[in-house]
Amino acid sequence: MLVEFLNAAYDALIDLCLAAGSRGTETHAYLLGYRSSAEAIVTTVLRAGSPVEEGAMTQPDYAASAVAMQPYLDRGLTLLGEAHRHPGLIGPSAGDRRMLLDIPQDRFPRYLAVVVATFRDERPPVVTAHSIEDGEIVEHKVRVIDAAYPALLPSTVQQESVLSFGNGSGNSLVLLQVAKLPIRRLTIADDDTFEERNLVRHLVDHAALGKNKAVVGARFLRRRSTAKISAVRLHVGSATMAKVDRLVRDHSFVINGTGHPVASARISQSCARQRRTCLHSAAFARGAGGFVFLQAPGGPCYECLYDLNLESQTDDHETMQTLVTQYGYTEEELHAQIGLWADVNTIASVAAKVVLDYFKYGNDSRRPNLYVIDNHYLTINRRRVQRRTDCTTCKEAS
Amino acid sequence: MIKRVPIRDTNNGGTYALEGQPIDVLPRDNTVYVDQAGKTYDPRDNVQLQQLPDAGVLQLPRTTWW
Repeated sequence: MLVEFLNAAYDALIDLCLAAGSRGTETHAYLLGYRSSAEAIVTTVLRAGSPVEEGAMTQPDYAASAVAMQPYLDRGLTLLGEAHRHPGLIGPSAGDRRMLLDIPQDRFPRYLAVVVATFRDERPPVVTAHSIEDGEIVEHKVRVIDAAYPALLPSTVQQESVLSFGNGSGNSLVLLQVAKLPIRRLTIADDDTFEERNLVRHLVDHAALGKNKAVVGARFLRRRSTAKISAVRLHVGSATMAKVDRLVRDHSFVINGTGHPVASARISQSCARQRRTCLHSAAFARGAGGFVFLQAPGGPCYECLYDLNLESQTDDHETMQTLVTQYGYTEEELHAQIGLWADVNTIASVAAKVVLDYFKYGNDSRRPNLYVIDNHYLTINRRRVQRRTDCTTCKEAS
Repeated sequence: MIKRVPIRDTNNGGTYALEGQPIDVLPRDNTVYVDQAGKTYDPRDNVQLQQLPDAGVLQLPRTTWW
């Protein structure tokens, strides 16, 4: 983990410690900010009330600090740890190490002990950061940054194996970006075949006509990715659920880009059973917008969303033929019905971003799990949805 | 009757709950509890569950740095 101080927070901490140095005491501050799997970013240094600050010991003012940190917690910041000053001693003392080991890790995982060593001579302060990992005290690199955005991916991404259902117009754009991440493996499952009408809203060209979408997609991405990419011809239906279950079990993360409500429900059920995280995304009729939903083990599933009326519009051959024969759409109207590519792309971009954030933050309960994109006003509404109490899939999974 | 006190989780933004009989004492786990008014409840003082308010409680590690 990298410990990063926003410029202003670093300056505030150093000023605090230099002032304590001139008084000849230690000093104490709480550190608040953001955390991802790879980074802890300190944005706020909080010294509230009257902490105990003696020559070789310091304790926080719990009451004043708890009251003062509430507004920061309300804004989504996290308590990352505590900082104190040492006169000349770099890093945690033996007492600090014992203290760090005594902090309950179940309540305060990766809690930071930051020490600022200041010196009587002209040497600049030295800042160190330690926390507990797997029961051991670990030192972290410290640096100062200009923007409080966790940009780094943890090394665990290299172990991720991603399974994608569907390689249609929207999901092909999601997969292009996912394949550029340093993941280990990507499997694309689709039983559909490229038709002429697909070409106006897909990455592929005429050479793909008549060929399986998964096979063409895998071939396209292999030249653009370091991941091992494979294709599976598979229709998601009642007769193939055993194979779907096997595939889901064999991967760490699932993307559902089928856009088909029944297939989506089946994929969702499989992911709930196998306790796999699944990203669902789909476009609404006419490409007016769409939604992206992150289904995590123990959280709400695709079927929990039914109350939210997120009816997506699929563009598989059967649906298109139904629209032609039953509703008399023209070819042009059909294109509008399922959305033009730029409209689909807004949804795909959000979906790719949610995958990226999942790899950065994991299943963070503070983050939204549903994003609804409005292509008319170009807005994204996000919220955290909960399980539906009457959802049978969730009941069976738990 | 089981008493349930929601505690604000400073680590991930959610809440977790302390549950038990009202007379149960808080677990001695090297932390302190503070309510919204700034009143501190130290588990070393055998604080009972019923002494905590029903909302707005936050938990901090009890720390001394050397």
